[in-house]
Amino acid sequence: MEKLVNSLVAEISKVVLGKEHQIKMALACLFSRGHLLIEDQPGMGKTTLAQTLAKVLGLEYSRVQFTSDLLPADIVGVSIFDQQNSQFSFHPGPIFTQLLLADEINRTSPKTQSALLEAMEEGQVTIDGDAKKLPSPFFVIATQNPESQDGTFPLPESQLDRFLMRISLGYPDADVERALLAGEDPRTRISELRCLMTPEKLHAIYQKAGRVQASASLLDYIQRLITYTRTSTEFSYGISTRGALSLMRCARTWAFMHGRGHIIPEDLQILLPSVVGHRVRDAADYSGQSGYALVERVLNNVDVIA
Amino acid sequence: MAKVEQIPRNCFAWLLLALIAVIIPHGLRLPVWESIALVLVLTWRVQLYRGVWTYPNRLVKTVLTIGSAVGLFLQYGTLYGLDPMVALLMISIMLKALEMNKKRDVIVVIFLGFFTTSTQFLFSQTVFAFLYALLCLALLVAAQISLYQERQLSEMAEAFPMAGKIVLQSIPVMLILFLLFPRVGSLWAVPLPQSDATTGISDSMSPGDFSKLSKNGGKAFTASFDGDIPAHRDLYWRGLVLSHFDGRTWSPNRWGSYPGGELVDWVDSATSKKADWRSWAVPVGNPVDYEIILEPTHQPWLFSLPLAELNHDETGITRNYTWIKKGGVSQRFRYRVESDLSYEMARNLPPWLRQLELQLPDDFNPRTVATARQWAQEESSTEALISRFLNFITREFTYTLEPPLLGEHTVDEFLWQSQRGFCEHFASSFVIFMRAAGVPARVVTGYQGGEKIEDFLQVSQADAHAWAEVWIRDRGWVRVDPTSAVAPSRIESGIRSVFPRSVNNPLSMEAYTHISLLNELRKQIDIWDYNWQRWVLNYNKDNQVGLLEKIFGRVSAWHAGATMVFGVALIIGLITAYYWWQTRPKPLPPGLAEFSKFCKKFKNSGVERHTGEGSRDFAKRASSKFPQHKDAIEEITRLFERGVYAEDFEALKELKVKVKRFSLK
Repeated sequence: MEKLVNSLVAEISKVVLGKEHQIKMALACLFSRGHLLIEDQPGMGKTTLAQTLAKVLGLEYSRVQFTSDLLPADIVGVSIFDQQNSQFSFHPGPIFTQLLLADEINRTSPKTQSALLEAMEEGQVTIDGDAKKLPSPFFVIATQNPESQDGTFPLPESQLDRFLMRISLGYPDADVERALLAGEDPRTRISELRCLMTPEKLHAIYQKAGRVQASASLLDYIQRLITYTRTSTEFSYGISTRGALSLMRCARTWAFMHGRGHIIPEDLQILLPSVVGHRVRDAADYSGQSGYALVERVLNNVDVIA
Repeated sequence: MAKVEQIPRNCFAWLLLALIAVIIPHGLRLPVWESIALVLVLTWRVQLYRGVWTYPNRLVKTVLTIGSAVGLFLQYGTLYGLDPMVALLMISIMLKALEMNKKRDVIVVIFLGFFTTSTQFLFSQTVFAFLYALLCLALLVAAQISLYQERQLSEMAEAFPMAGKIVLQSIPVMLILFLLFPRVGSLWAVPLPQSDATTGISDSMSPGDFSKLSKNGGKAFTASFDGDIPAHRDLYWRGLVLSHFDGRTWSPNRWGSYPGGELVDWVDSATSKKADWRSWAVPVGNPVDYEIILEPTHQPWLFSLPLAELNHDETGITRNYTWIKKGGVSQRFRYRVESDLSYEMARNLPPWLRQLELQLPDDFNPRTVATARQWAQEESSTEALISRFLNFITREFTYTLEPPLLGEHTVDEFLWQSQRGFCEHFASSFVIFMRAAGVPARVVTGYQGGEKIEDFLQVSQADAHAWAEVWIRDRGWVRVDPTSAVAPSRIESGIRSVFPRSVNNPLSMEAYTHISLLNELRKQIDIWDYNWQRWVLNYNKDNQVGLLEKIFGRVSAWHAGATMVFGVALIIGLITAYYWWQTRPKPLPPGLAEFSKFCKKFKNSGVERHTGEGSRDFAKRASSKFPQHKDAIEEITRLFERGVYAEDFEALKELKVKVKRFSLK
């Protein structure tokens, strides 16, 4: 498994340079059947990462650019009256795909944002009272700009909670950036990438990752972490049970990706900022920007051995 | 802007409750105008709390303060005395409560509240007063707790259980201080509350007095006997002797009418000198020893079975062989009595005294006087005369709680017309009859009988009784109870067997003896009260010295002080230990314990594990600092991970060994 992960990372890194950690995180998220939120400044390679992932994992891919006038029907599709057959026929929207890239999701109105909700949670959409199954696997990779930028609608907590992880890419290292500047645009290489995954392999990963062991001591540690976020006055609200379950799911995948049959505290420590960073909020923070710093504090205050 | 100290609203709410609780017991004692003023100030405070009214301004406060000071002065004329002091305390605590808007004020009011709570004991020391004071304490502590808490109003109730816990924790300390704190004599004299209202038997007797007393009920005293309780018919508790009759009312002889000699022989434990007339009363040999706790009567007399001997300073015996207390009984009074139920009392009667015991007013009860003279001639002896009179009343007379009203010649009307009466009618007419027949006789008042509760005897006002004593040559004063001739069961088994519902005062528990549950409750309360009195209120300096002697064999201030300090420290220590035990760190599960031991070996080496640092990160740092131990560190980390997170027991065992062997040196 480790080999597969390494080759995936290597393949993606051909296009997304110097972001091995973020790539691994994104993989862990998708292998945990979770949706991924990438938050960063424009022009940091968010879309590139999503495209590359789709290509390498061999997933059917479609992209929706979210704008302020986008309507729910633009995503899920519409029923149009067919005059020849004298009946409505359904024209599926871009959501009927395996990997949906929701670009700049916070640029659109809350109404459209929430059109994604059902799809993300249930794996189906309901149009004209008709539930339609989405293809499996179904992933949403959403990107968003920091909310301080103009013309954004911040995602509400309930919507943020649907994303298993929130990561940000950050500026590349100086030498990586120099290579970028000197060489050709790596995006042109996307088409050359090999597909390393099949849906069967993906299902096998789901199955095996679910069997990773979590020992009593580890569960104690998780509970200490959760309790800290719920009782400390620094938090306006702590980690929900769904948040805790998500953490466990990711940790299992992460351990499995590293060839282990059991979770160790380091797995949790590395995942915690991405998995719960968007689910907690500082008591004095109303814009929701402080998640990562808070999670750092949790990790520094809750001991592994207790 | 200056920082505004917000007082939590919960604190105000608790404080208001506490103030009400603290003031209620004093409320009835205060002058009416002050009670009204307190209620008004309290209303103001409540309205302040609700945000309806505003704080009083300086002028209003000044007027209130001066007004109440003047009011108190006009009411009492002095501030020296318990009642005015308490009234002053009450008004000041309320006025302070009205103006409080800073934390400091609240603290002042809370501590004033503690002080006021303690002043309750100046007026009442019953077990209920004690429990009530504990309640006040808990309320005040709750106010104190909520002063430092920022909670929602809906969470207000949470302060009370915590306060209760604190008060309960303080009880052992209270006990130690109670048992060991030196009982210093009063450094200053607080004038004790004086009441004009006397309870119980008064110093005179008119027709109707005793039936009224019987209906009223209320506790008179309790008696606990060293041995068995004597038979009910022998329980004549002598109180006072009435020898002077003015035609309607009996009263004691005025002291002025006694020529020469000491009228009262005060007990003086130092000299144990006795007046010569005391030797005229001789016990014959049927001793009973007992102890009495007398409820406050505000009268001097003490009740005892004849022939009583007290050994208590401040008490004295009168020439009638009744006992009195200097200054009256204004608080519960406990005394030991040695009595002898068989006795001879005053075989020689001085002529002047005989004259006094034959006194009768002129022109009253002519028919009684005439009949008595006639019978005296017909009968040969005094005894025969007595039994003839008793026979006479046995036949036609009725013993009743509702005697008809009598006119001018009370005895004539009673003996020949109404023939219905209570004990005082029988005793009074018998004595007048005897005196008219030339036999010295007198009325004795007190109590007869009592109710046995557990091992003590409870005597109630309902047991109040009047009987007679007749002086017979060669026998001295002999007790004759004419009531026993009419209603023998009154004497044999008590007033309750004759009039089961004699007490009709709705405020008295004795009025409900027919409801068995209430009756049991009443008895239980009496038992508590009795034990409270016996074990708590009577704990004095002597008991304290006795206790210390029991512990140490000898007594010194050093011992007492050391025990006290040690005891209090022990209690605080125990409570602290309990809380420490509750929150003690739990032992680490296997594996984690070994790893923690392993990490401790790096103490002072420059690489200590941070809080939250995982084993891998630590191992990395440790290996780079101590490359020579790299293999061992990595091995231990691997075993730890396998043992704890993969739950591999073999790895755990190995980890234990490896950690034991590991050393930085």
